[in-house]
Amino acid sequence: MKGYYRLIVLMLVVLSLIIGSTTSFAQKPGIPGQYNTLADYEKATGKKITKFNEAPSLAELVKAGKLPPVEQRLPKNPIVIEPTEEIGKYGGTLRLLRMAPESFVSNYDLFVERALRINARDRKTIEPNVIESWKRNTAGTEYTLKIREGIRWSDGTPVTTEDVRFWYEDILNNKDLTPVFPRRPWSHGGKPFTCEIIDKYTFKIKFARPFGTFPLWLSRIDVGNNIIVPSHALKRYHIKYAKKEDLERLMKEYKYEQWFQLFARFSDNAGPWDATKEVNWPTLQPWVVTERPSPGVIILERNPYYWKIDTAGNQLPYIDKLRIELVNQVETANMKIIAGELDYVGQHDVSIAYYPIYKKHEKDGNYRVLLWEGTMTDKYVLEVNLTHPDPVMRKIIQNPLFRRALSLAINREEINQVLYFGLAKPSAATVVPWSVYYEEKFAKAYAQYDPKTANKLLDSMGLQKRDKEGFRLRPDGKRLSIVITHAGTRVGAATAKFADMIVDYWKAIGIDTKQNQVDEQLWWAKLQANELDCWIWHMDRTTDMLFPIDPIWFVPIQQWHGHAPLWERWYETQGAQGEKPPENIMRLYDIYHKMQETLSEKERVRLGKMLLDANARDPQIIGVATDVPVPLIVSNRLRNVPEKGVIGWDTWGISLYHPEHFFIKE
Amino acid sequence: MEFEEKAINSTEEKEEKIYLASQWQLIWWKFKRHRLAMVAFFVLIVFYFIAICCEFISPTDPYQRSQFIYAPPQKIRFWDSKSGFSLRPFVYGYKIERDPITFENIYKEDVTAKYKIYFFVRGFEYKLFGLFPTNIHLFGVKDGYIFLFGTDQLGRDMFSRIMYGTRISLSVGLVGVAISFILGLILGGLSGYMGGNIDNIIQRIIDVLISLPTIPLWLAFAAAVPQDWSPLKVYFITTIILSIFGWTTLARTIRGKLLSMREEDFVMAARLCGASTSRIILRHMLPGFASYIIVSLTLAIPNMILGETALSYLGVGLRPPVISWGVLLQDAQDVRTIGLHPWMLYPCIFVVLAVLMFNFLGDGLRDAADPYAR
Amino acid sequence: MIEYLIRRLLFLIPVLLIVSIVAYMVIELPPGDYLTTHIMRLRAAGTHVAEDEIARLTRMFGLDKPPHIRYFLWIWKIVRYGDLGLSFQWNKPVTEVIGERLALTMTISIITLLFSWTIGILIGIYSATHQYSIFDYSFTFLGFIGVSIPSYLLALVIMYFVYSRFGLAVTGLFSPAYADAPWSIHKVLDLLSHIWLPVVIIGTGGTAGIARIMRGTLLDELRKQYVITARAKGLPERRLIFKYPVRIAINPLISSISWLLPSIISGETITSIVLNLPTCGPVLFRALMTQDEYLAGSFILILSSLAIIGALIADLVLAWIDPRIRYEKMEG
Repeated sequence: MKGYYRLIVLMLVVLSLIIGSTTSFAQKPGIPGQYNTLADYEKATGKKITKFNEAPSLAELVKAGKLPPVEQRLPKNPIVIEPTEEIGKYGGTLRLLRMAPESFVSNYDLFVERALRINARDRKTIEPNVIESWKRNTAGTEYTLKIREGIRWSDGTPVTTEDVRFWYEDILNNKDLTPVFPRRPWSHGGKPFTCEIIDKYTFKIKFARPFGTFPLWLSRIDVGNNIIVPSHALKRYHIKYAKKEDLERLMKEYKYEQWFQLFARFSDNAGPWDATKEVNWPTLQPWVVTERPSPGVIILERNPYYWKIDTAGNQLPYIDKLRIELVNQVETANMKIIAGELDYVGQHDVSIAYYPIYKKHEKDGNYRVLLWEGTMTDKYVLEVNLTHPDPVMRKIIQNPLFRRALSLAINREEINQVLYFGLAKPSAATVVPWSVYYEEKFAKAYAQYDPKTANKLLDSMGLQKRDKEGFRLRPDGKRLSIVITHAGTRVGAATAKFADMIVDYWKAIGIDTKQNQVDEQLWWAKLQANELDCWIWHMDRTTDMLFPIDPIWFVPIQQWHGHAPLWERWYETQGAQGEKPPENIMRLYDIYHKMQETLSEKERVRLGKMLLDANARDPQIIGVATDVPVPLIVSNRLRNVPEKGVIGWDTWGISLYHPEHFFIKE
Repeated sequence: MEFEEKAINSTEEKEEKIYLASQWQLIWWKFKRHRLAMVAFFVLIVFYFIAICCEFISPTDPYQRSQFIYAPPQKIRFWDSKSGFSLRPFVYGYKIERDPITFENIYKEDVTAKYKIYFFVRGFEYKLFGLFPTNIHLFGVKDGYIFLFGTDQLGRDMFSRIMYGTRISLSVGLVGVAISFILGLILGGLSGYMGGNIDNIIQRIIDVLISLPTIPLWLAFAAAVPQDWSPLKVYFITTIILSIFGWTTLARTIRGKLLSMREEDFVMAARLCGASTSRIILRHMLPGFASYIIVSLTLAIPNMILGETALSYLGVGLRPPVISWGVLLQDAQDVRTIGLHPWMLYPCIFVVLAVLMFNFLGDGLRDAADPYAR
Repeated sequence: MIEYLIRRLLFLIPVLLIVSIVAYMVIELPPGDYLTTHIMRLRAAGTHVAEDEIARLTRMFGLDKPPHIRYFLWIWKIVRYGDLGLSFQWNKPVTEVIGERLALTMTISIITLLFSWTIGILIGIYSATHQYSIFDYSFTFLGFIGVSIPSYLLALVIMYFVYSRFGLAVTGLFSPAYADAPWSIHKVLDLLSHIWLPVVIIGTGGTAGIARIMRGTLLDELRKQYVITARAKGLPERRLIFKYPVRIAINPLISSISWLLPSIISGETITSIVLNLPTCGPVLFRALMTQDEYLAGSFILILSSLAIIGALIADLVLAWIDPRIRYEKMEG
């Protein structure tokens, strides 16, 4: 009897361990997940989905014979979404805002279906999406990709490899539309890639060199959503397919002089959320633009051919309609938020700076303020121009001692208190702490507040002479001065305040510092012209989702908001323009290329850490904080939104967390 | 002046005085009777005094950060529960707590920290009138801190910032008006006196300028200003932008006055007496409409002040680190401020006050200069 | 009279031409063009825009031609086809972007105009006839305060006040129920119940100004001989005031209509940005900021033309009701 008892206890313990471990492994509570196919779902859970359900409004259309039944609309293998909280209810309108007609930043995170995606739970694993499966050859130079079979555009047209062929042959290889073949990632290894269509659903992409990070590239929107385009709709505007008189008529109608202008109107986009998109333009997104009832308002309705379901077999999305209203400025947005007129506001349109007022009116507005970890807005980073136009300044800036001194002069804890209410963690510029590339020493490098050492470092560089006002003099006798030029609220709500503080810190170590706030456009133009001393941006691309493919802060590869415009231009133009960087930077390029090529994850982490280590020793950029809190405004009626999460450029906003399965609970 | 008034006892003497008085004396006498305008006059003198020596009046360096983020204004007190009433005013220090929900600092009075306010205390270094280095300030505390109008997000003293803002904001008005005045006088004078085609052309230019909505023009001009110019240059160009559109009304007024005065009897009389044209204009006509010019100038200044704040609001006017009322209001124009830190709106009170005072002054001047009411 | 009319109409042509040049210059003045904005946006969205891609985009936006050529093309299309060009930002013809907003803008402007006039004139008359009374002082005071508060702050403070008092966000012009609905009687009523706030905010400054002018001119007028004579003859006070002095005092106001319109549009821009109204102002503002040249240029051109034509009408009305002016205009 006693033996039995022991055995039962033992068995129970083992069982609970197994259950415990499997549940915690397979189902991190509160974060949505996905199964690639019905079979995968069955294998993982033992449950079977036999019947598919659809929204009542669609069921009516099916009854009226205007729409095929749900079984025929779904692909052979719909993706199964495991919800954050519960199986949702159909219906409702989600009230959203966008800040400017030409701006993409407000809502892009709701419409980002692409070739592959990232797992929301570990924020690292690459998952199938439109592409159902992929294989690479042993050399790592060829990828065979298979489109999810039976998936359809929102107008019912099946998605096939014709949509890929059209993109490759008629857009990428059309000289009018693409005069220069895109470099990253499509010219990986120095040569344009080639595409081979195998059958209706399978195609092959070949590169000149091994390309280990290619699947990760496919999870990015500018790459992953472009390879499959609605060719049946675009052919109407393409000179190769359209009849000449039709094309001329359309050009006249839309008032264009060239056919490629007309074509670009429909194909050039900053994403499928683009506000200038045509009504009912075919898409793979959960919602389709259906109406523009009044100026500045866009209505989107559910895509009847959407290809994801929940674990109960309900076709997603749950929410019927999105109503996106144009809001002219942040304050109006804030008024609307506290009055409870919006259901979801995230990312670019809210800031930790306004947290107190959101929180104060949480009850009045019937919403909740979620504090997520930000990987973008409000996470300021300082960049000093390593290729400064003035040779004297360039020599000073290129000296690592100088940048170390600049970093040491900053009181990060004070910034944390003033800008982040003490909720962030002071840190040097490096990847986030939960990244596989992270090491504590990277975050601590020259991140302590030590103006004394900073002064010593500057003295030791030969900058010890000072003028009457106490500012240091450069070797040529001029005053050592830095102007921080930034684009104000485009970078973050408190950029000017942040700059104010930096000005004080650097003045304290004898550098005559000023800040200059300019319009984003001008800032950018000046950056391109290499006319700036120092600038501020927000530090995205620091997670496992983006750092491996786009480590712009640590290697000067992209002339967008990098820290060495001339080197970046040199890299981007393959040596045609700009300036060749010195050996130590060339070594970084080499590491970066190896990171792209290697097929071993372990090797990539080793290489990545080399980049970060180099930056920790010789900081190219100066960061101030990590774990920066950002608020998300979520109406109390909106459910299935995780309580905690990570949001920013890296996660493509909320899209990581499957917005198609959010629902409205009245 | 008092002597004059005492001396005038009988009505005849008074009348005689009036007959003998110059036009300016008449205006002054009349103006003095306009109470509101007199008040406005003195308030504005105080304002410009502040503008000239804002460093002296500010107890704290307006650029100096402190740990007191968004601290509310301290109250000036004379009564302490421990030591009772004291003639020397004082302020209490802050006790900081953090609101667990909104994460904001909550400030309570720390009755143990009592900072007495003294006149002429030593503080941060500055140059009075830009010439004499000193560190004496009108008032302040000897140890501790004083934030009469609270602090901003970086813990900077709003009172001192507003005082510094006075200098820029009030001078924008003066400089701008001076430029408008010169333009208006020349072009309006030409138009009114020459008449004919020149008049026509100038009038059409005015038509065009008046017909253009100002906001886009401001924006475009402000955007055309190289943004890496020093704040001082931006400041001057801002005033010039404001005045380019300010001169039209003045030019019209002057032209109208010139035209109507040409037909007046006294001009006719002067002409019949054989006075030269220049004498007629300078000696007889100019005094006639000088008062009008002054009035419209006075009324144009507040528009300039408001224009500066509007430009700052649109983000194309003056920018930090320059401190002007418009720049300060830029920080105040958000819901968080209005809801949680209303003291950030204090610069608005100064804007309103300045505009109001200029309007009252202008009103008083108009009444005083009104020929009908004489 | 007809000769005067023709002369004024002839003058209109050069004036409009100058306005169009100024309007175009205003957009060309700042450095950069829409392409900068566009490339920035593409880059921000993650698209890697290479140097040569920029050349393609330049051609696509038609920005490869020099500015003066673009100006002539623009004007030619306007004159010849009534085509205002294409808005880069909205990717739509300018006429469409403006068209859907012009009606609301004009509605707000006209209601504001009526509001300013009615209230302003009434206050002006009252203040003039009750000079130095309590009401005269308080109206003067309130009026000046109205002039002196920057409109964006007034809007923001009123918004927050209404919100914290009644829990309403007074943004937009319609309640949610009617926002996307087609036009109906109910929608118009709904509009009227929302429009008062922008009208008050935009109109306050103007109202005070009109009241001041009205008070001043009416006071002058009331001191004149004919009024005194009429009063001495025993004409009832109300009739005495309204019959002549008020009519004459309104004259300068009529001539001010022309410049009132642009100033209302300017005021409307800021207020509409704060209150989030679907009117022309915010679109114009954005167009200027992003250098969406044909949109911004056309906007300025349309608004200015309206103002100039308004000025002409005002002059004609004035000439029609006041023979003295007619004579003077025809002479000079």
